[in-house]
Amino acid sequence: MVPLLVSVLEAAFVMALILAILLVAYGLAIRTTRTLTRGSEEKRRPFACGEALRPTETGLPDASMYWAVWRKLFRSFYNTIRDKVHTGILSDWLFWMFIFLVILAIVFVVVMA
Amino acid sequence: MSLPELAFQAIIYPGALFLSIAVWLTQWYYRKVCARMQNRMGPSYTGPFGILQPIADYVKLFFKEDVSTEGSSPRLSAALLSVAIGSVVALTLMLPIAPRPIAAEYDIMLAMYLLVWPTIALALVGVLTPNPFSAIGSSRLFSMTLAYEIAFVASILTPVVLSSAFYGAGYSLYRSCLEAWRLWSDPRTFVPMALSLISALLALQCKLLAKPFDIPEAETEIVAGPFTEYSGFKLALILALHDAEVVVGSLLITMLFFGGFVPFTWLSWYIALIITAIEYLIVVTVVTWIRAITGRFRVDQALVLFWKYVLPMAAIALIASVVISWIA
Amino acid sequence: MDSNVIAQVGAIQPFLAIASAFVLPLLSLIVKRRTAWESFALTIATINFVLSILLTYSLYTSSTQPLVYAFGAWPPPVGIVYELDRANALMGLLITGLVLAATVFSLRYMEHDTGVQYYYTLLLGFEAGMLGCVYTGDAFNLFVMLEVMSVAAYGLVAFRRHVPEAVEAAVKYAIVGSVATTVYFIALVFAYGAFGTLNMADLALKLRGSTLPVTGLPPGNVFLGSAIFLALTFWAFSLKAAIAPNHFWLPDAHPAAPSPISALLSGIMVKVAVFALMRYLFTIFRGAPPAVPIVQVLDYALIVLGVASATIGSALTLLQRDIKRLIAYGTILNIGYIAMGMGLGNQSGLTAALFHLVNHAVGKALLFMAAGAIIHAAGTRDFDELAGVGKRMPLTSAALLIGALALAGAPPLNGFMSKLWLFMAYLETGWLAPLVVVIVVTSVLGLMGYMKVFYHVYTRQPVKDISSIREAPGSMVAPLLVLAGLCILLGLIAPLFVDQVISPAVSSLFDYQGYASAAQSFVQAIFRGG
Repeated sequence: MVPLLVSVLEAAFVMALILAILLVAYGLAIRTTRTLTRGSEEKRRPFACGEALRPTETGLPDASMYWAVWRKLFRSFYNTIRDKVHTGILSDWLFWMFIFLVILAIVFVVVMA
Repeated sequence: MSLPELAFQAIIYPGALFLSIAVWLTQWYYRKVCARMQNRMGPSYTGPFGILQPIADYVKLFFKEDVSTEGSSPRLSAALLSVAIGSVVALTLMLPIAPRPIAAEYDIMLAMYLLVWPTIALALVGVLTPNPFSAIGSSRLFSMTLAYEIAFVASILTPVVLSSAFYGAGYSLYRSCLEAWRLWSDPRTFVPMALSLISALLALQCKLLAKPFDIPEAETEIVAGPFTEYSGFKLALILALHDAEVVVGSLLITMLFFGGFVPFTWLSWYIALIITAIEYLIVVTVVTWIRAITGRFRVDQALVLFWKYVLPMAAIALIASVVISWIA
Repeated sequence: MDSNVIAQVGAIQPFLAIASAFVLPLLSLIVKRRTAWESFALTIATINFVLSILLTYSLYTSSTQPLVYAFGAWPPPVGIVYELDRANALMGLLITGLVLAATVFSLRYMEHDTGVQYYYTLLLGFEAGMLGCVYTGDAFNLFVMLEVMSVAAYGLVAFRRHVPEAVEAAVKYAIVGSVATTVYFIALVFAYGAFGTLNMADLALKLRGSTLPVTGLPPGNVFLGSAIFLALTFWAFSLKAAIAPNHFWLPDAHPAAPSPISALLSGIMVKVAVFALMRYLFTIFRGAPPAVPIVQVLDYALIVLGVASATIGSALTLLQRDIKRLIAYGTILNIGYIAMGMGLGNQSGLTAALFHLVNHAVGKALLFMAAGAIIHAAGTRDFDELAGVGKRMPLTSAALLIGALALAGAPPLNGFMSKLWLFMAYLETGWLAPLVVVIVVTSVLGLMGYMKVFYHVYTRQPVKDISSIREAPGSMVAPLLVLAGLCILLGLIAPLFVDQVISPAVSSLFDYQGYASAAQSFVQAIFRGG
């Protein structure tokens, strides 16, 4: 069989070919429908919930994007790991690091015995 | 493979032209069967039994005006959609129905890359228009992608890993399609194959955005999700991408899990093709059946379903297949 | 060129950096022009980079043995030596290259800050500390250079002293980092008590029964001494390298620093600590009979902690509202991958780890600097406020996209290649193959996080008026484009790069015999009067 690089190039060639055909079809479609359009500024405005929006209002805040679903699904996991473990308090961090050192010491005592 | 051969395969068979005819017939079947199951008529007027309906839809969209709002990127969207359709065509060229398929060692990675591209393109296309509904639709599509894409890829990998271990397919999609049907008869590999078939069908249902997973384009909630601001030719491209995914996804499952025409090469070629068509229609019917009888999940219900049930099933199948291939 | 000259080329780099770091404040008293200080720092960084290229080139093409440079011509283990092999030279090249990129980036980035002469002083001291850490062949010198590097890092994190968050992060980092270096010092005490020497080549020899000509046999219990030393060193370096559960300081310290410094901290400083661990675990202690059970325990510990780091890093990277904090959690994720690669303990695992180290350094530096350019233009770090800014800065957004895709593991960029190597290394071990699921799932979560960055910066509609925002100035865009090109190039030529560059470095890391015999022949040459 041919090496993988050749298949990748073949697939890329196929994708480029289809891209070219479809872009030509797109140009044709635009040219055909040009006679149907009536130039109007109204239809180019973003429109939602019954009124035209300014472009700055059409975005969504960070909290409602797809990671919000993820966060809701794993809410108990995140409560533990974010609010109980990753507090900003230095003494909590030192506590976890000390626990790790103690575990390491126990493991080494066991290994040497 | 020389460039003219590749171009012929890309454009005529099994590329754009064959895919268009397959899309036409599959769409008619999809819509008619779903309608009859729901006690409706389905396409009836355009041609006998409404068989010309999908063609009519695409022709109508070609002649509609393509309005692009300010703040959107029409040419980038068109390019993304065309590249995605190109990737679906390239995936078709990797299956055994092509006379000279694109095949190499380890080309399953190329196949996985090509499988993921259409969904990414649909999500990106939604983000590029300035509309809150399309942003929500795209973000729902992204969150679902991360759930089912792993399951789908893992279920496709299981027959490939097993056939590479037992029949020396070298992790190539084409060679695995030629050999994987033999795995059903071996008692060691029956269970992973069955598990991965079930999870592949469920992940396919999600990938095709068919009910109960058509969350990103939930009409009563977010108008049309990522496709809200599209009309005319670009909407035709979106629908073509979506329908081509139906055809190629079902064809992939048919070829990989059932072997297509490969087990029946000892029969004459037209009987083998008819059997392939019947297997393909069975897969499409399963998708249509589930689509016809269910309502829509909420996005967190769909994610829980995938992460709790489908993904562990696919992961167990994949790990079992890796372990079995190491033992053998 | 003869090996003595090449060794001097290597050894002069940290010396040059620290000397110029001391000269710069004095220079700033005489010359009050900012451009003078900037050009001075830029010249030194360029000279160091050129010297590094020369060193790496000659070590890879002509020398087969590590080169030894002894300070003051005192033979090891009496004096301090620098021992330069291919792995060292590769790390040195990475360090000087990224410091040069960060210096070029800082020229325009720090234009609104005052006290910039101290910034460049600390930056040069930082470079000196890092170069000393990787080049050194002596465990105590490693401690000294670790302190130099850390103190410069604490200062750089706190550089924007009017921002309370930066000062708080620097204080926490300083306390935690000082605990780490103190514990390493205690480890050195135990090592000296057991072995009687602190030279790395001599440690390697004493573990295997022989010794360097000047010293005698180990005075203490070698088994006990090496066990305690390795335990404490592992803890101390895992804290500097931010391997879970010692990673808590990183998400506070790295975002608070100025962006080119974040690029250096995340890109190369944590890697220096990982490299020191590699030096101890692979070159010196692996395969020596007293240390075999301990090294095996540490391998398993590395795998377990690597999985924990990857999980924590990927899970928390999605939730951040601050662009730099998101990228900082991504560092924890990738250090987890490097630890997982190191824990395998064989050639392919270490190749994957070293390759991912190089790729992550380049990608993370690119990502932090691109984020810095955007923050510089938008004036804020919160996603909800810098939305859509990237639409006016096409080159920076392109660099940000390439960095995000490279670190998320999209083919054909370099992150995908190194993750693939890690993948294959795990599949080869057989019984550890299920951990591959961890790699895949955490990669997907990381992809979600990085796509979030690109979504907010480029594709989202702007929430404020962004017509006054222009593309970042040329000296800020140039390092971004160079690093982005390097990401693409390393991805495309990955098999060649691993074969020609990474594998020789890995073999030199496994090769304790070459390491020790280089020191031995150096001492014998001195005794013969050479």
